[in-house]
Amino acid sequence: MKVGDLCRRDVVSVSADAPLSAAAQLMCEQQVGAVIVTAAPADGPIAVGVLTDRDIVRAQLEGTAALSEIRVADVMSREPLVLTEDEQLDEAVRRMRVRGVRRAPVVGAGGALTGIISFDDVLAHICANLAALACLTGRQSRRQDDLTTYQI
Amino acid sequence: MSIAEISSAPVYVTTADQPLAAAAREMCARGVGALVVIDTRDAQPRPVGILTDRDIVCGQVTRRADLHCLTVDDVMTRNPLTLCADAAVSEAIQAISVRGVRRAPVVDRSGVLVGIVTLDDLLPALAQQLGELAGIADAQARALPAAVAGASTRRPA
Repeated sequence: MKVGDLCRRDVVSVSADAPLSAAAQLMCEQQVGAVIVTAAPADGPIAVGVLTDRDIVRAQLEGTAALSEIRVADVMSREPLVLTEDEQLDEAVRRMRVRGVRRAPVVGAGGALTGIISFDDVLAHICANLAALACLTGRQSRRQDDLTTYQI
Repeated sequence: MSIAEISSAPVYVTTADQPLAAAAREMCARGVGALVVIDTRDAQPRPVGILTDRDIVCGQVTRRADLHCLTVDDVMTRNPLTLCADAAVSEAIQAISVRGVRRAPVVDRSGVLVGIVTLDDLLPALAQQLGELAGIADAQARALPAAVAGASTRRPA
């Protein structure tokens, strides 16, 4: 399984130049706790940071400026862990653990932002695999019961 | 396994009448993403709400007001799901998935707050059970060749 097979394509992103008020509005509308921050060079958007709801609150506590007066670029986490679509999922999870992040932007071969992968996506994937395994063992044990019946 | 065995204590609390900025500062200082809001009219702490980073951000957006002008009461999530300390882990998972929340205050049988349990506490508990299961499969797989080898040596020449 590769990162590109599991990541979500509907990335909620905000421009690094946007005010925090716009980012806050977007996060509430989309019901997400974090957004990918992008810059837009000519050859497509690139991920330059991650902004969480906690980053917003912390920025408000540190200063007195209103949310509309603070730029996303000033409070986001910079140099995010960026995963590539063709990276193996287990290696990606290992890198997320090493960096201590729950989500990471995903880029295509050209380096342009194409998706996002989160802790929740990976957990759901592992659970789906486990459920499939449990189904299999359930079927096999029933078959075993049938065989036993025949032997009697 | 019961919730009491995996829940986090101490649990950090605030009250509904606190300025929101003070609660936010407490969350940052403690490095937690949520505070349990307790009733001040009772000598024993009973949960009446929960306050998360998300509530603080979205509360400001919906109320069109700044953090420094609001109280905890203005933005907290009321009537939170609570879990009984002696409930089983599987019951807790069922309850939080039905309510769609990632954390829940833990209470004793008389409704007094004793801790908080989060998705991050539940996952290691399940992973541990899964690890034990994998251990059984692994031990059986290792025992099999030894048993076969033992059988062949006992075979008469």
